[in-house]
Amino acid sequence: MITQNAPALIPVLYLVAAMIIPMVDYFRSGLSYFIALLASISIFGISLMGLQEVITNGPISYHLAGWMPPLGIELVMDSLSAFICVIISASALLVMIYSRTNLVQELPDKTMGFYGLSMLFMGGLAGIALTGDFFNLFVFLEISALASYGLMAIGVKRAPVSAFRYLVLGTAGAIFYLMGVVFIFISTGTLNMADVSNILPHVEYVRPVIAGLVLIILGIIIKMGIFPIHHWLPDAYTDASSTASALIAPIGTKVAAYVLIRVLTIYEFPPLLDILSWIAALSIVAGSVLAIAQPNIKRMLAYSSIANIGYITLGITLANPLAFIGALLHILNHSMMKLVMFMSSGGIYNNMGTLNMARMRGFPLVMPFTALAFIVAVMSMVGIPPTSGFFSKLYLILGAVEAGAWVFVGAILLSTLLGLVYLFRFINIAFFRPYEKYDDRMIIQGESRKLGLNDEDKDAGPKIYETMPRNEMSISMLLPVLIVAVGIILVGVFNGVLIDKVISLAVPDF
Amino acid sequence: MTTVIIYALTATTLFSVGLYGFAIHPDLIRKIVSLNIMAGGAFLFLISLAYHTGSPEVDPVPQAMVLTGIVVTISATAFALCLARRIKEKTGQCLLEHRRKDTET
Repeated sequence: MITQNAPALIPVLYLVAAMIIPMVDYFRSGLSYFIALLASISIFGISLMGLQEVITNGPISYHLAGWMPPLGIELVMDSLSAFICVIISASALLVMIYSRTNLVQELPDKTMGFYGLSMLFMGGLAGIALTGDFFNLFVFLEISALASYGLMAIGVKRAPVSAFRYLVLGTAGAIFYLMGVVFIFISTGTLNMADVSNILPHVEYVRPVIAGLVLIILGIIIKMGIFPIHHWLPDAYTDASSTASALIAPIGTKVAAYVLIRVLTIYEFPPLLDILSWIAALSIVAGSVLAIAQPNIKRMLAYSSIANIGYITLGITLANPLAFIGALLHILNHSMMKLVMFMSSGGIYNNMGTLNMARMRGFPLVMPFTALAFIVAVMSMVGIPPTSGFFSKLYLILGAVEAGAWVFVGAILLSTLLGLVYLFRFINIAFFRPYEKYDDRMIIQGESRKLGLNDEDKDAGPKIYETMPRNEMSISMLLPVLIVAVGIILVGVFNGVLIDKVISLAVPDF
Repeated sequence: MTTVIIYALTATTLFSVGLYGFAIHPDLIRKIVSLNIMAGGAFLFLISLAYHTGSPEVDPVPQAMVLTGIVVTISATAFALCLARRIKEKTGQCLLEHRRKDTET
């Protein structure tokens, strides 16, 4: 009963929660957290049940309001969308648990707005993952995008400007997407994805189809924040509040990547794949290079997101099963890494009062458990074997080798080395240099010369060594971080099972 | 057939003009207006599809799409205007400056 209606229940429950939260909060402020948590828990359960059902019995199709597919809107849960849905709902649940304490510290009087918008955002993402209709996808894309602009606008002082920049680009992207859908509609006369993929191979005029595909992909690329059009992403992630960036960063761009999979699998047009894979390779290298120079930890993570979305795109566009498995596994892995990293950087900001990496000395002494989780995420990001990041990179490299694309193998390896540089720069500062009052003062005074750490010999005063008091994140913030860190290792160890049981079912025929 | 071509050409022109204005102007309000012009182009294109030569009926699917699209654009515009007002209050100017001075928080 529940499983058969899962495709509709998942987005609708989120949207209903988004509507109930402002109403209830008007009478009893403080209840919005519990509503959001309840909705997230139940939807996570439904997604898991849906995934199980899909794996055993095949795709579930739901016809909204009983209208039959070609004309009515169809929601489809196949193994790919069920997989994405589980990722979305799991990270929503974890961030909801995390948000309790963090929101009180950062945005005490805006909790209702935050929870309402986050439910709306999740509803939009789940809708994108589940819909089987191109135009309905546009609507869900805009629902999630509008909610995310709102979430990003609640933040530090500059946040509205960053959100506005994202808004104009995102809306332009959505219009591009709409224009592309119109072209597809001209050539096929239908909007249903399954119908479109049946009709497209027999279409008489190919040019409108290609124009449509290019427009759609342009729109999606803007939403993905891939290299040439990535300017909105670092600003938006940096200026949003910690919880909002922990909510948006792990899944926002991945869902756009999912749309890319859907679009690319309905019609084969090799030149487009080639161009996209070169863009992806550029994005991998450029994101990693740009991440090196960032003093702000959230900004660095945002640039590394650009590199990682490049991995995912590369895996999709190489168009062979191994690379595709790598891309899907990397969607899961990268969501987990970014969850850990953004949630811990929120904790760091609250407890150490800074996001500047140069001032995070002694971070593992102040927050030992967070540091442990962070190290696991860093290992996964670089790709050290027991963690899951190693395996997704391995599959991507194997896929690139199978495609004979040695340049892309080189790009992945180069980016891994660069990842080592930017992540271990942070590890070096935070873990291997003792916290010194002296340095802190000097950095504060010498704000203009950012890393003036080598000047120690010049004015060698008496150094004041002082350990900061231990100040771990509160349990509700720490728990999700640790769960995901354990998840990273578990996915790494049991990746074979995961690929056999779930991911290999989602790979389309090439 | 010519009417359809005229509509399509107008729609493409509108779309391109909007895109040009969107890329060129740093002013927030101009950006929002350009986006609306772009969206108008896309909607006009859709509407011109609904009309079939020879048959009196009109295809309802593009029209439903346009209605939904207008709703989406209106909400995006409203939100963008709100943000623009907030930005004006905070920074005193209605411009999207391209250089970011403070990288620290």
